[in-house]
Amino acid sequence: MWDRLKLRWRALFRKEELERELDAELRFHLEREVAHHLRSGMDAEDAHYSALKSFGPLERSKEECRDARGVRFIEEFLQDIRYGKRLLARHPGATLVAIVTLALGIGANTAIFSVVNAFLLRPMPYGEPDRLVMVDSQHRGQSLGVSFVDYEDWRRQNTVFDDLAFFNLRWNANLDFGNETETVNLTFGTANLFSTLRVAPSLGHGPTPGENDTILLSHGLWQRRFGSDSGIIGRQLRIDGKALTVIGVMPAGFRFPFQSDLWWLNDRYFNRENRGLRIDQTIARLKPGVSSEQALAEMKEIAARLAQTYPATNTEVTATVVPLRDFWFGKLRRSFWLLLGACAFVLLIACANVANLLLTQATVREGELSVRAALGASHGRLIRQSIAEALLLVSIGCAGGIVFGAWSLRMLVALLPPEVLPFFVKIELDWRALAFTLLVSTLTALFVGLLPALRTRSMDLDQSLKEGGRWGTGSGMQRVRGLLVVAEISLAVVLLAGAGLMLRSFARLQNTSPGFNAENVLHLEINPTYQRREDYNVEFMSRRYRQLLQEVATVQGVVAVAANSDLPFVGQKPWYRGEFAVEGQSNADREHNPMVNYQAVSPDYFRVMEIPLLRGRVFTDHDNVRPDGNADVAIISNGLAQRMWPNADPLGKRINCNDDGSGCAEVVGVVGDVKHNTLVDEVGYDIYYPAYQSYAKQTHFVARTQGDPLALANDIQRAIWRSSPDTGVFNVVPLTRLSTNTVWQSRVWGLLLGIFSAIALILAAAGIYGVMAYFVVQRTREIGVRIALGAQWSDVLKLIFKNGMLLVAIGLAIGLVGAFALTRLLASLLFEVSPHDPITFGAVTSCVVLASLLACYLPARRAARVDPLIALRYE
Amino acid sequence: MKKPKADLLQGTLELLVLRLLRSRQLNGWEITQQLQIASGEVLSVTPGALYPALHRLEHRGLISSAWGPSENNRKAKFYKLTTAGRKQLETQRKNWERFCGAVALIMRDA
Repeated sequence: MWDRLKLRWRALFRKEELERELDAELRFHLEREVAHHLRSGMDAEDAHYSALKSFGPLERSKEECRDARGVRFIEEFLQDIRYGKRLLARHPGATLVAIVTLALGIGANTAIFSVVNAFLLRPMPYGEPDRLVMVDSQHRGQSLGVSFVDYEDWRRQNTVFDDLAFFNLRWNANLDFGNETETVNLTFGTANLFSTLRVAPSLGHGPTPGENDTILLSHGLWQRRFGSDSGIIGRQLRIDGKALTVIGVMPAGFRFPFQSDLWWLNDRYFNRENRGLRIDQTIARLKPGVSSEQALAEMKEIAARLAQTYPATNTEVTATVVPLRDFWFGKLRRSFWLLLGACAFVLLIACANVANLLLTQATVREGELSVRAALGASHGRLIRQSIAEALLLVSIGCAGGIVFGAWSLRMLVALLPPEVLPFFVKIELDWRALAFTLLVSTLTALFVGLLPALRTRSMDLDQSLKEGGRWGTGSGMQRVRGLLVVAEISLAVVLLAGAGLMLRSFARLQNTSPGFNAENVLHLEINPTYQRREDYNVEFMSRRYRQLLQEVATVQGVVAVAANSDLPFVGQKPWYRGEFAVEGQSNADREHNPMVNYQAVSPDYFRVMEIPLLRGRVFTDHDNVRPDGNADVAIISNGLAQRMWPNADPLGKRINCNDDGSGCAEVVGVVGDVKHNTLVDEVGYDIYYPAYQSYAKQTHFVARTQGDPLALANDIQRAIWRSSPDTGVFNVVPLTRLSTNTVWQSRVWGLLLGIFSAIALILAAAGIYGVMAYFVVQRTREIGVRIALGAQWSDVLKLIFKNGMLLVAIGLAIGLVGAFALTRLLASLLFEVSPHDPITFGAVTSCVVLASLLACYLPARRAARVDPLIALRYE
Repeated sequence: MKKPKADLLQGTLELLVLRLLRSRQLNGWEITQQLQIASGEVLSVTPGALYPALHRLEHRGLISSAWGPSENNRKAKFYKLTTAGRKQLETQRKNWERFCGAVALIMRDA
């Protein structure tokens, strides 16, 4: 077996060596033959002559020996490739267009497929991740979060889960390193969290009953801060002023739920009294064979039972079950498939263009091919040659595509804000994407290779030869090319319509105000350490915040600074959204109040954010702390004022009283509406409390600055550490970044679709140009005759445009119908733009018409310049 | 170019070559000589037929070749039977005997 492989190898790549050996072998035979004849008494000349004669035709036996090597097919193939190379080099312009076309199509596809792969196909780093679901409570369609008491009932009563674990979404913990403080994400969870995820620590062990105050580290934190020291197990770390013992390090690549670096797993941490305290999350592992729909049905039953038993806290509270992957990517998934679809369109257009090019060449070469066919080249051989030529084109295009793909992937990753990506999404050009590219390009090769090849089958040899090696009019061929152009145009129209809608929607977003001015505002998250238990009181906290604000305000370049416990656009926490009641409202009336967002802000907040004060006053330093943590003054948003008191003055109204009527907060001001979670949201209803009166462990600072806010980041940080060195400061970014992050999808999709559709339009125009240019070349004689007979420049133009624009009109019509049907898929991604927006559709139409006119004009001009004498001499 | 069709004569030549190589390795010239001697000067093969046959057998893995010194101490290419070749010889020999027997049967009747 090995010997035979070696022979094949030598036959292909050591051809000269084999030839020398063949010569030597035959020469040896000849010498022995001559010696034999000499011995039998012949003279030298006769001996030589008769030896040669016995050999027969020498070259033919050599050729037969070569045939025996069995690599003839491959040799011919290599020949075809060399031949194809020469042919392609003869039309460098067209070849370049085809290669660039393919590279763009293949590259874009590879890049997008890599991203889709990273998001939708890469497994999450947990055991059997497809059985993990998030279980949440819901109230009238609003997701609430889960209370530990509910969780314990769910865990006891369900029959569909292997296990349920309970955890908080986000806690910023200060890790004390003596002279510096680092704020990291800490997750509190029940002891069964890791067994539910089916992940075990790579070092040390998980939580065990009886061991309290223990902590687990992420692999990354262990590497970065502790030099991968395996002696870390058993050591004590000071976290938020408390000593905790390290019991384990999690494996590399493991994170949960988001960017957590520390896990404090102990059931005792959670509140067992308040069933209505729904601020945490539940993850569950489905039993094998149980679908998430079945689980949902049972969870709804359990929730209904709980609602009957505990009407005070659970009325109308139901449950939802969402697969973990959907929890992370739910909305993204659809946009990725759309993007992949758009990419496929570009690739289709690219293929059509290349097919067009090869068809043209096949037509031009018809004469040559018929001569070859007449000389005995088999039909199969001609097909093989066409495929070889296409493969050559595609492999160069494919190489270019990989380069372009890698480059565009880098650009794409730069566009995606890392904050919005789940930790395990690592976007890289991976083997699946490469395999996909190879598949796509091979299919492309077959597609474009077979069209011209099949054409030679129907070639009429006699006819072609009779025309003296000149290509025929080939009306059938022209029809195929016309069809390709129509297809290209219609695909381009669909893409342009999609891109146009996305771009218009993005432009709308750019002009949308969130209700505040994010320009020149620096955002910081402030996380003080509470060294003593008694520090956890409103008075101490507000004194410290007040002091920090004063420190920051002294920094050169800071115009004003303010605090907000729950700033818009930073992922507002569910527990700040809640119900409210107006003094004297009955329970039944309360039901109709909207949900509101509670924010605790310092006096300068509205000035820093430039949220207009419409009535009344803003907070002052004299809105004092009350020991129970409730506020006695409140500011409400205009929308809420309009809704609650459309015909009355909201100032002086009292809200959120205790059951005995005491402790009300008086509305002292009305401010403008703001958006909360994303720019595309409707404005929400707000109730602001004074920061000094409310209880917040950590807070956001916003500082209005002169000039670039980031330039002041270091100064501000130093100012904070000057007065309070154990305060963690993190997430220091311009506020504009936070607001654009909320609409990154619109930006990225708009940009990508824009690029795709630009490519598509250029490719389609190139296709029209190709067809029309060919049309002109083909009719040079006819045009010459017409001009000789007195046709005007305008007549010639009319001839060309009539032919070209007919194709455009058909393509446009098909494309518009297709776009009308398909843009509906975009509806959920659009902001204040109808998927059938007439302006966009009009713009697309004129864009395509203009590009087509240009593409027709160039060949038409050449046609009009035809010199009748030269044209006629052509024949 | 297409491979020439294997006709009876060629099949026979290959069988004979395999048979000659069974006991020892030979170079091309020795094979022509041996064939002549062993067939009592009835059969002979031209180099133009022999060498393509040898190369075909080699590429089918039935024989293998190596360069070595000839009896007159020149470098020559020697062929020898491979294991696959030995098996092939056995089946072909049986086929040949059956074929000859059948032909003989018919000829006797005629």
